[in-house]
Amino acid sequence: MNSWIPDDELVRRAQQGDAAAFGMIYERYVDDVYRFFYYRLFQRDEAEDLTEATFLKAWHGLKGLRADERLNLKAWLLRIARHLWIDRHRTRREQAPLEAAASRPASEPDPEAALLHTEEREQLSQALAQLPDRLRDVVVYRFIHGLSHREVAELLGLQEGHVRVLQHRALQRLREWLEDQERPRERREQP
Amino acid sequence: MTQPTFEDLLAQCLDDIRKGRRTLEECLEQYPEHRQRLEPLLRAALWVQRQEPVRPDPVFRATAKARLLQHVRNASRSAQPGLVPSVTSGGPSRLWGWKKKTFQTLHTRRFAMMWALIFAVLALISGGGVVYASTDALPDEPLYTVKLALEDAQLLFAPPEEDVALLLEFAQRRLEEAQQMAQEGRLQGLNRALANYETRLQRALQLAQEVSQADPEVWALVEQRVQQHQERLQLLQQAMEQHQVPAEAFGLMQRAWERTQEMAQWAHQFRQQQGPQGPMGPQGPMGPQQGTMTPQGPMGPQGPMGPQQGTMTPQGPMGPQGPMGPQGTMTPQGPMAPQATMTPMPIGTPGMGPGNSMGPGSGSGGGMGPGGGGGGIP
Repeated sequence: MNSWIPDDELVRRAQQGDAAAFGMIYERYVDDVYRFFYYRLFQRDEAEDLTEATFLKAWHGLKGLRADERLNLKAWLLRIARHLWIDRHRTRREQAPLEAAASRPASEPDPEAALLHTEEREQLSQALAQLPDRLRDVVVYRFIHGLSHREVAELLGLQEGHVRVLQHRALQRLREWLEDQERPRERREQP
Repeated sequence: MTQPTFEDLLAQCLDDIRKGRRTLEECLEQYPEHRQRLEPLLRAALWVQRQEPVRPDPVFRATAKARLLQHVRNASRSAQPGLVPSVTSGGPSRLWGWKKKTFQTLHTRRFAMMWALIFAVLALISGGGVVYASTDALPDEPLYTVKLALEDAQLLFAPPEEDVALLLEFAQRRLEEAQQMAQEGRLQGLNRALANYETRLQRALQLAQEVSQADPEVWALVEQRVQQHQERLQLLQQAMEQHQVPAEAFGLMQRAWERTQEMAQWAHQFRQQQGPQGPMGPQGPMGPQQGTMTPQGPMGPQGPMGPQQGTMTPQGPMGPQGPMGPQGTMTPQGPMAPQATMTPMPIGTPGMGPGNSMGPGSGSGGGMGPGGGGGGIP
């Protein structure tokens, strides 16, 4: 029978060099890490690269992780992802002119992505894309990753109260965006 | 006690709804004075939660996992924390940079000595049995790791000019193994063989680009071998279709096709240029000496000639989307794209109609996604 292995047990095994355990950690959280990057970049290739890099860093950081019942593996992985994201942001700013000349176009046509993304998923991307970074962080953490206010506060280095305020603002912006989306449709439906 | 703010009420309602303690309606009834403000915000939050979030591409998921686990195993074996690749520092963000770095690190003399020692010990312990037995090991068998390590050791001791040939030979072995795995329905082995095929081929391409200045014949060899790979891939695809392997493996298969095609394009491009121009490479003085090359060449995806000057995409001169491709850009062939006909990629996955077959330039994942037409992948 396939029994569920808790995160702390997987971490303990992985710390002892058990590749299969690390593979299970990867399977369990790869979607979350990928979403973290995708909803910031809206770019599949880079989101994939950074996702892989996150797990690579996680592997090397496992030794220092305390594997007990208080362990919140998802939040830990998202914290690594966030650090990578910040590093990338910084590097990008420093290297912007060089990269613009040397890198391949960031928005190559991606037929697969087009196929994979349903209209709804696209709508979600559009809705999130119009939010400022900080508000988007809160929405993604809270409603896509399902983290608590406290966990979001820890990840962002904020007070819980501040997270609630940001959440309120983000939802207001989302509400306005949704209403804007509804308006043209209503107009079309009117005779 | 302080009065809860509106933000607190909103947060409380969101938590309660998420945990199933209250419904949206119950929340609104509890705070009738805030109903008008609260309702649209709660609905916006629920709307986000209702959306199906993106998922990583299954091909990426599987190949990244294979690469990570390979890394984990290598790291566990070598117990060398110094091999931690730097993935956050500068440069293009694709990970081939650190992969290459890791590979090069493995090619140090120290590692060569270590491998030599390991195999000497293994040979002594088993009278050569383990090493010998591993040569027939298949990708889902325990001795397969030894087989791959033997190949790596062979590469370490081979003269540099033979590396490309060896890598291509190893890649060919992966395809043969993959075919056997497909015929026997051994999915894990099939995935591993395909993932390793991609790794071997990628490394061969890197090396070929590096050594081709010194040895122009290298691309002739590549061209010949890659043609064999394409034939083998065709057989493999047939085997996969006949044995109805799961969709995940078709994703890896497609990736293998793309890499092979990329290799074929490079080989063809270099071969064409080497004749009249000598060892300057296809871009002449702007060639690979000037930094990392991409399939587009150093001049970007369209190169100095641009698509208007007769560049052919693998789909034919106009490509499936018209002259400018779906978004006004050309497919990645570069300025000197092969003028000869490309070897056509065989048909797609089972259940895919002919209209969805994947041409060699269909980009990553064209027509393969679960949302693709033609019936999708079983």
